[in-house]
Amino acid sequence: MIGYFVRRLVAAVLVIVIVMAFLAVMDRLIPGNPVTYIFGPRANPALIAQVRKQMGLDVSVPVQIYQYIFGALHGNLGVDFVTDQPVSSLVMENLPYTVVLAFSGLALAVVVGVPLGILASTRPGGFIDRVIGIASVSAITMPSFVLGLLLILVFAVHLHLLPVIGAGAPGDPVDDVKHLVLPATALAIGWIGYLARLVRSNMLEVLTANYVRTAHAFGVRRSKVFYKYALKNAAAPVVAVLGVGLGSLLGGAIFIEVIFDRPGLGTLAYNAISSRNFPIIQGTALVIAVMVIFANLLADFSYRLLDSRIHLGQSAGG
Amino acid sequence: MAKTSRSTKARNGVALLLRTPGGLIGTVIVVGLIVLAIFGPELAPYSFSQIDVNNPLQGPTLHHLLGTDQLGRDLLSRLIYGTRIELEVAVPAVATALGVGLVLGLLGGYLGGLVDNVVVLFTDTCQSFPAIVLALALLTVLGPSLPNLIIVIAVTFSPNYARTSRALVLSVKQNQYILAERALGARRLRIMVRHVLPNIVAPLFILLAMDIPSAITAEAGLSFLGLGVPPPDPSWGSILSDGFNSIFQAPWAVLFASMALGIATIGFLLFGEALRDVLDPRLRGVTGWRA
Amino acid sequence: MTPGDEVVLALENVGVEYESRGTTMRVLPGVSLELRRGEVVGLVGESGSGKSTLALAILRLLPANGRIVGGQILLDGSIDLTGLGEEALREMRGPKIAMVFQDPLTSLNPTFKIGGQMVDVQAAHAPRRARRVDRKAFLEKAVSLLGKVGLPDPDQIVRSYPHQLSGGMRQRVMIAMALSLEPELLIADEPTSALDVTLEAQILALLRSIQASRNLTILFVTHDLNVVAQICDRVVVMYAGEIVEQGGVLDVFEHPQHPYSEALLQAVPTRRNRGRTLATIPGQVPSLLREVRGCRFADRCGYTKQCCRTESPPVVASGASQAVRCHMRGPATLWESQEEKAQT
Repeated sequence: MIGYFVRRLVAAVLVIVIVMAFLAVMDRLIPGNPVTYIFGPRANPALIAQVRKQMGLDVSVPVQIYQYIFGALHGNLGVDFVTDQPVSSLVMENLPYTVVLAFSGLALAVVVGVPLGILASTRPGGFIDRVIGIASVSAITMPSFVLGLLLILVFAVHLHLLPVIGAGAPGDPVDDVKHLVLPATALAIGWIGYLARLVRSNMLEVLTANYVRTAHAFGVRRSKVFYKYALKNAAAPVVAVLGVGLGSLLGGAIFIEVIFDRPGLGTLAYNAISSRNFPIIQGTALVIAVMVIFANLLADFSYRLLDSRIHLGQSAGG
Repeated sequence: MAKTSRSTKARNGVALLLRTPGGLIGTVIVVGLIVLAIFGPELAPYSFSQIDVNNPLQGPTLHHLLGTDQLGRDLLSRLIYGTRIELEVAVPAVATALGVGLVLGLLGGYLGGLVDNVVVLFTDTCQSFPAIVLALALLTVLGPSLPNLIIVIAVTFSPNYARTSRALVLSVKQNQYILAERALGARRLRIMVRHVLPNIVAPLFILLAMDIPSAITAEAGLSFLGLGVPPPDPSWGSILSDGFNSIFQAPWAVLFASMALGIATIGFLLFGEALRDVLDPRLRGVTGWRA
Repeated sequence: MTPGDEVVLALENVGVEYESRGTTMRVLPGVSLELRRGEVVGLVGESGSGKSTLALAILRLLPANGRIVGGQILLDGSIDLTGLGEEALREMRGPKIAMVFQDPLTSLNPTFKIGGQMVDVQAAHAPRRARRVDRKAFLEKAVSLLGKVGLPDPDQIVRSYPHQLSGGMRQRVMIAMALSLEPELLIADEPTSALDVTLEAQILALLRSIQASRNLTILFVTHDLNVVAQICDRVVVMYAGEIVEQGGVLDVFEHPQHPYSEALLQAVPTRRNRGRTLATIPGQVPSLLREVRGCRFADRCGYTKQCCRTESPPVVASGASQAVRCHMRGPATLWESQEEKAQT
């Protein structure tokens, strides 16, 4: 088992290196002259040379990759084109906001979605089940940023209930939470629907399994069978999905931050796009990729720990 | 057993497709969208770029059935034209992703060894990025335009097809008829194309149908951020973006564009599920859900 | 130990229906059966005969689309299992009647250790206050039982997961689990069908010794007549949801009274008919979707006469110890058995 973990860790590191290499040379994809592309016709030769050096275009590809990776490992992600600030400090400033948003969305999705799925599985085909079913499907079909827009429409424009701009006054946790409500909900709704469906179908599959019948046959209490036996077996795939969820939530967070005017990596990247401030995009993409890779790794490990069938390897024969 | 002709098989298939309420609604919506995309702009009451500064941000009226945007352009016409843009981007993008992913998965799955390792590494790497981040980075570098949009979306979707087709190839590879062909000395390319390929297209096709709404959503999202089709082309995402800027004054653009997205998504999802049930009910687990 | 006269379980006219996609199938029309203390009864039949359904119905473990319709199941002469509430029934499952299933791999929870599962089973029937405290004692009992069913190194086994054990070991675990609550009746639903012949012989030997030492009543469901011959005192033959013959094992095997039993026994490969084509029973089990008039075996029987297709055959005593459902053995008979025909 340790061997498996180590192998996965090595694979993850390899992927990160490839990602870094890819990001390092991305600026070579820019059509035409990259510098004029970024700065327009007013670029003079001195500026061009300086920027080319900055962008690593004055060296060969392998050297560029090496320089970038070396720099990244030392915490140096370059400086941004417009204000010359180190990218790493910009990223670190904004990272917490995005992480908080993504985790809030995930937590909300789990706290609401999983119980809904369990509830739906207690009486399959019943009224509650069908209502939850329709709601989940509707939740899944709407992309989160559209939901964000609609939520703003309803809660802020018409009802004036919740704030929609910014992250709240600094130092005031209650205000922070108030500002989190709508954004986190917009992020979470799609996943609430997905988790509810997943949990429901896993539970139903497990509840008809032979070993549940055995538990009933030996007189184990119905509630204990449901919560202890069935739930544990149904939980494992959910954990695996959560890792993927974090990845997609981080992506969705970008939109949500822009819509709700919150600080964070998303807003940082969005502003950088319009000014073609490539180093910022590079740094943001790298940080997000690393987070996603580790989230997936974590989810994979937890999944295997929960489902001992896989974690302990082969069975001892038929 | 008498051989049913291809046309009767097709007709039976279509009948099956329309039998369930989901299939019926889905097919109607999909067909409707396709018709709108092709003929809509001719039938639309106004040109999508026709500005009318005297009537900005109006609600639904007789002249403008869905209202107007901040420049007085008719929302209905813009949404109709937007249908064409959405499909123009989504369909080629997903089809390209399918093509690329299929080739990669076929090569990696069938040939194994180093080729397979490379393919797997590629898919793992691509899937470690949230798609939007990858799209953002690429579009910043390449610049926003219709072809670039198609390329970027295709790139972000192809790992999934590569992975799925690889898994399908691996399972088909075990079958007896493949072993028989190999025993008869057939060349690998021939086996891959004539025997493996036809057996894996069905689930991939279904994935395609169900990925189109994801592609549409992706395009809308990217347009929303300003990375999509440049104005005045009315991608649903840009309509949403404009509407968002004036959301406190008039909700109509946001409302109707959201509805358009929602209807398109549900329509394709229902269609895809019905298609799956017709082509092979055993594929119950195949869903193309993506955030 | 010879079986006593006390009736442990009595099924009276028990009917079971399954509902599937809007149609209802009466799988068991009305089965009556008695199990006496200390006897091992073999319930045989082909797939679809209803034998597993009957076994599951006793403890009301039918799948969600099945239900008992009519009849009673009396335990110890007084408790009607069909009418018990959920909690009361739960108390019966294990301490009074225990069940062992066919596939031990899927019948044990894959994500919990063996020890934990066995402790949970015992804890489920302990008085509320004692439950926490006695888990240690339950584990010790589990270990000792695992040793009694012939498993080496029980301490290691309680710490293992089901997939780490072999099939034969898993089945012994299930038997140990069943014994842990000291039931009066053990229902074994094809416990050896998934095992090879050597393992089967071991499990059967184990069951025989357990039966002897505890005077356990066993209802052994199987499709394999060899198994019945090895372990059962009495055999009950089922066909299409009905009991067509029951009686002492030796009597039924040597002098089958029902055409179906006769055909089954002829189909068993023995040294005597080695090299010859195996006998089979032509035709198929009748569909249960339609009401059957007359005898359910009529289409495949070699002795069919007019009355077989129009009237349900009666159940009569016949042969040495048997009860048979057949017109051929009925009172006003126009029949001659094969033997009698041969003699004339």
